[in-house]
Amino acid sequence: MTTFDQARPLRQSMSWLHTWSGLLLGWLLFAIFVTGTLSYFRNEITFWMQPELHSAQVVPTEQIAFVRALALLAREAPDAQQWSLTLPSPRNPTLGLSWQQASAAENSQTSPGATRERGVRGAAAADSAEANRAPSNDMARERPNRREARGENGARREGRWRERGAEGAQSPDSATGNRPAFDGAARERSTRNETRGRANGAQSPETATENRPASDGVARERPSRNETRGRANDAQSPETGQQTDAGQQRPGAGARGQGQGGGGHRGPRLMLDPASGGKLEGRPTAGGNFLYRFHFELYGMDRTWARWIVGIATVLMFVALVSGVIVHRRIFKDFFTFRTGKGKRSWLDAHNASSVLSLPFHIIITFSGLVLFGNMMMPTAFQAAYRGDTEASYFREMRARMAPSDMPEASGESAPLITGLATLIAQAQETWGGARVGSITITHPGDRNAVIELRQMNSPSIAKGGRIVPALRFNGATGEPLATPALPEQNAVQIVSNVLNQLHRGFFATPVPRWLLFLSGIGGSLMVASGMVMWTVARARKTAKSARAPWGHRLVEVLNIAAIAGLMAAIAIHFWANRLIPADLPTRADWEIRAFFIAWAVTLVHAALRRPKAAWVEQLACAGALTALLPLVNAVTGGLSLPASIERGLGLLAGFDLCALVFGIGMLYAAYKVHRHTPRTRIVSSPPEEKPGPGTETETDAPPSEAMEEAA
Amino acid sequence: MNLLCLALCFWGFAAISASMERHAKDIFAAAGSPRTRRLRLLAGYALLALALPPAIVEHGLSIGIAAWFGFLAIASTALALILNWRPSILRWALR
Repeated sequence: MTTFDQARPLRQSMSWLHTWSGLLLGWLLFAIFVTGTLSYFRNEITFWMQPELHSAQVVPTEQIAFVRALALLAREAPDAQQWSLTLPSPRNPTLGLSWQQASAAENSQTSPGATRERGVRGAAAADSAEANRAPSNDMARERPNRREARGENGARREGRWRERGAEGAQSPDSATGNRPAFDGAARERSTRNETRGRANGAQSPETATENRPASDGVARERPSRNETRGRANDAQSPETGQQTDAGQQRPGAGARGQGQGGGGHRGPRLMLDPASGGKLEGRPTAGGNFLYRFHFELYGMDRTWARWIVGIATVLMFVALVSGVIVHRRIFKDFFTFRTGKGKRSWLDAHNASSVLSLPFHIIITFSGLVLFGNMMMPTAFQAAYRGDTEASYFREMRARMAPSDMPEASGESAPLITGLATLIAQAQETWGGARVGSITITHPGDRNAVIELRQMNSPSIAKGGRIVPALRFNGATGEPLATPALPEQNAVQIVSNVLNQLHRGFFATPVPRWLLFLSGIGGSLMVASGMVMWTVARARKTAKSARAPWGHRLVEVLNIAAIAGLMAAIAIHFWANRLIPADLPTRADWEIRAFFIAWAVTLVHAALRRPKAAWVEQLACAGALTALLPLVNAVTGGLSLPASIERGLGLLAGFDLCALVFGIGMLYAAYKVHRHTPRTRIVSSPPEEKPGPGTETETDAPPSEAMEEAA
Repeated sequence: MNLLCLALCFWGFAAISASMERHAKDIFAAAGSPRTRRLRLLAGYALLALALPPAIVEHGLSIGIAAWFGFLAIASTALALILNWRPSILRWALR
């Protein structure tokens, strides 16, 4: 006991710290956790949100219509320097096609995109020369241009989306980095950086994007972002459907771009039914990427500010985690303890269990989130270390990329391309011990020196960067194997960075690890939610004694309801809106997002007007019903119904529908439990009791576990 | 292999929980001697360690370790729920 006495001051102070660091931005943290958790399945969500694509057939590799796909590429992009095919995967059953024109230098005469890009670069240089020039209109205009340029010729909108996706997949690191850190003077460097990024082909579209003169540019950033958003809708969405895939794997993107010593421009992206080779056109939607971006950039505000806010919330989360472990004095004794029906005790158990049992995940996800923001939040170290050079090399070094590899030059003699891609795929999979091929790029198609490169679908190791995957090469005219491109050597710092990065973003994740990450994320959401509810539960009795709840308690209560139950309802509404807003409405993608925020705002008003218990019940019931009905909505609005998707083997659709069903029922059950709940304590006054009893822990999005525990 | 890993994690945690007095009473009605419980504890940790190789075989070293942590989280959560719900159904697995 004496030891306890000594320890107490620490525990008490940590307990205070835990309570308040958790509460301060807890509502935001819950939203970050939930949307971030859903982001593990953002490709699947995007696919669900484009019912036009649901007709894609799942076929074995031999039956994929490669011949037709190659014919289509030859028709659409006969002069392209490189074609890319993204093979059907468990995360997207369509066959994606894209291409890249020859590099800017070669094409400047012919390609409008190239010309434009050059113009833009020129302008950027000019801009850096006059570092003081205020952000002017033409700068504001320039960004979109650049996007176009990058996005490639005609496909501007897609380019825009793709870029965002790519950068999204990438970005906290680079993206944030520079902006706050380097102002005017850094611009010049950034410009160079951009050029260089492109020149070395190291996939830098993103780096470039981010480092680009934008450093000074809140003003500039804004317009273009809005514009991006504004066009989100016209984002012809084959792109959006795939973009994360692209982000993950980007077959042709930069990694390969170096063939000609200069990045080219990515072409539009088409999606085909792998069986028939017919084109599929999905409706414009931000898809799962809205949730993904929201989880670290929020929405509708300056990106840098948003990232700082999320970064600060992450720091608080980390503080709460560490202090929580210190506060939890029976961490081993109570390891498996979960008791239902005991009021506050049960809440504490639920909070402890959801925290402790997936503690490694919580720590890693929070810490790696911080590291992803690292060069934004603590820029001095790398600024100092890389001063002599530029940030460009920092990003080049930290970004795990394929090293530039020696792609043979085009010979100039034409030779027909072989079409037996399925054979090559089988060969590659055998070489890799069964690992799947994710994408195929064909450089110099139609040339005697054409190179067909097959890349593995998932990174085989967490220590490698997400985009560093084994590849095999074949001569495109003869089918003969060529030398295997070497994977780049990486030093310890890069490896550590890769590990944290990969663990956070799950690039490596095949379905099983992805589900594990998802479930752990649900555990984290439950942890945050139960912690916040506990804040009110712990104060309930005190509150109940006074006639009116103190305004602070009332505030927390209202925010809890809207942040937890309300968020779940808003997400459900977002999916409903996806199906109810006409597919041909030009601004539909924006409206989906607006529907989300409108619904969320309504839940806040509702929570403020209603008594807490009623508000909990109504919002949970509403969210539960809306979510549970999603499979039905899917089936009647043009999507593939649940039984049909199971039968056709489209696991991603079935998974979405089943999850919606399970979560929906879980929330309905939670609503029922709250409704039935009467406080165990003698106080029967209604206001404070809103924190439902044990059963309600379920009000977060994690019904499966909840449902089980409720059964008790 | 995934399932094997999950099962071993679950079994290991179940044994560990049975080494704790409170849970042992729930599962077996009697806590058992300290020696028995100590054995259960050791067996439990051994089982958790045994769950790692299947995950590595399935996913490779680095991803396997990450997956193992994931399975540990899932298994322990499931166990905590079962201990609250019907602890006695664990009896057959723990003799």
